[in-house]
Amino acid sequence: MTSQRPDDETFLRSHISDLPRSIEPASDLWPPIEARLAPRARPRMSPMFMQLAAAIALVAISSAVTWYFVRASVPVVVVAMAPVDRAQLARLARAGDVMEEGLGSSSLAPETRAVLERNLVVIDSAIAESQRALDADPGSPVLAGLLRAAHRQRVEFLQQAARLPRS
Amino acid sequence: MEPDALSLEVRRAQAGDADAFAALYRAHVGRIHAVCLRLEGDPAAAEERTQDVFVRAWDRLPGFRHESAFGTWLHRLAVNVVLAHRRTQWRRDLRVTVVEEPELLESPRLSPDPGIGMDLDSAMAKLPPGARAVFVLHDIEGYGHAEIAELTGIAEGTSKAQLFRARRLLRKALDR
Amino acid sequence: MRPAVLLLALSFPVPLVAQQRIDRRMAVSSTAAIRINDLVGMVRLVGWDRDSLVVVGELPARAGQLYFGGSPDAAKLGLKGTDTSSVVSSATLEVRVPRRARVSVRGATVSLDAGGLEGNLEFITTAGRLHLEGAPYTVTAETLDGNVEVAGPVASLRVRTAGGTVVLRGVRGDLSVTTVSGAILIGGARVARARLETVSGEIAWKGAIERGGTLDAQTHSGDIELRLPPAIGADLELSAPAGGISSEFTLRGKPGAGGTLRTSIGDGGAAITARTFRGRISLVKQPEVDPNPAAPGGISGTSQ
Repeated sequence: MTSQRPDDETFLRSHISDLPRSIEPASDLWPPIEARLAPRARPRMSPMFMQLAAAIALVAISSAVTWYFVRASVPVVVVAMAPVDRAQLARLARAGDVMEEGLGSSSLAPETRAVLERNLVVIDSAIAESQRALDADPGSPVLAGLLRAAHRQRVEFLQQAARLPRS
Repeated sequence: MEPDALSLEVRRAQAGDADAFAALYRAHVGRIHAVCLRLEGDPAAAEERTQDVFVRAWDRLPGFRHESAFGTWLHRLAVNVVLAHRRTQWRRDLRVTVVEEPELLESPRLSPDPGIGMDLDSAMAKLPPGARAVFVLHDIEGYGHAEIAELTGIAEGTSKAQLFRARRLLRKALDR
Repeated sequence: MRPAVLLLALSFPVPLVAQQRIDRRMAVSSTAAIRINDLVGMVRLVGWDRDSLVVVGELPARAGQLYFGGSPDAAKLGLKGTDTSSVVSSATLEVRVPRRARVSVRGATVSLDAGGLEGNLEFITTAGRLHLEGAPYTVTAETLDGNVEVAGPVASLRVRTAGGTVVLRGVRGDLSVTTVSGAILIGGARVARARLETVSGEIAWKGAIERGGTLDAQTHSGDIELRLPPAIGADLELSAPAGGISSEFTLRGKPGAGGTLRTSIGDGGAAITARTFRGRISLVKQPEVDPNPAAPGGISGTSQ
């Protein structure tokens, strides 16, 4: 009696059932994800009374000031964003520090290390400048967004550095 | 993390609590990364897509109505994120392969890199991108051909042909 | 006479390092995965219509030994034993791959000149640069300090460089470009999604965004210039707290120094976000007839 060869689907079924459902990424992706998380956004255009309620809520929650003006039938909204999240900014800074420490102990050629440090100076200057501006205007969501972006760029640059081919 | 605890974390994250969202990330990243890796077939791209998924989830979380499990909602989001990123490439690959190269249904068997054992994940990574997408969505993630057609922008018949092709190529790679 | 002959011989330099001639070939499938590791110098990568992988060229002896092999679906080539104490810039290799191959090139010092590709290309280097013409499906390019120049309708393009300049012509689809100090200069683009980020570089964009598409441009201290089709419909979010906003488009609201403006032009549709801390944002209308649409505009005098 000859045994019938199972079809492709049947053959693969046992392999599929052995597949792991979960595969952890090789590196911790939380720092770059966290760096990209925006504060909860407000709607671009909303009825006047919702804008007013949002403005009152924001003033009550933080010292941020929002304002609106409407021209004709086309409302133009000047940005009203969530309050500055200093805890998030601190987490981003810590994530970058951890990654930079890890890079310091890696085996990079001196020329490569020099290029990395030169570029980190550029990024760190941007972070410092944004931080100073935010300190002078603590409620500015625009400045908070720019500072958050600078921290994220630092994390992503350090990630790129970790992937560099070694000569 | 226990389901009830997760539900609480979801509500906290919806309210803007990033630490709660971090907990959700830790609970789900393995599953999401697995589907991204199998669809992309490339670890670097999979990590990028995984990041995109969680960033998109943060943005969309206020709209999550708890009508399904959070994991189910997140998984669906992941499939949409990866497919949106690859739609142009896969649609072209699927059209070219099926219409112009039917003989590839019987192409030479996939061979592993020298010295590396072949398992299903390794074999899937070597499939042509369009065939891999259909196989992962249908045989691993349980989508039907109508759904796959809608998600990828291809015809149902193309989806079925690509699945046949993927299974045949994988069988040849594994059946040694 | 003999001393004269000796002096004559010594006046001509004798090569101290022998060159290796390279000519290796193997059959591969049309969509083979090809990994090219640790090459040095300039590599010319050419997509062609044959199902074979070919490497030809010359390597100095201190470049090490070439390894070459694999299977029709997964091939590898590269160098082992390279003398890393010296810069091997004289190496010149040409690598020919099937057009739809999936190619990965990694090397600390390798530069790449690529064309004729229609598959996927990944290029990761520390000091090298990239020049690419054609239309691969996807391109991922990372270099620490090198320039990246891409001309052609690549559907999905990701570029990272720290100090290098990025010049893109005629790109399509999905685009992500990040630099630290390098300029980002883009011309003749038509994208569904573009994300352009630099810390101190400038961003100059010339092209269109598909309806429903997004363009996100961000720099800390550089200027942002967006040259857009005159009839474009877009929702705008423009933020330049220090440098101000100027526009050839009629903006509802008041562009000017400082602040953030959210408004729309045309009938909306695309979403454009531009943010710079110290720089200026300029919105410019592309001419109705552009003699050189693919040439990137530039803020620093590099415009056509």
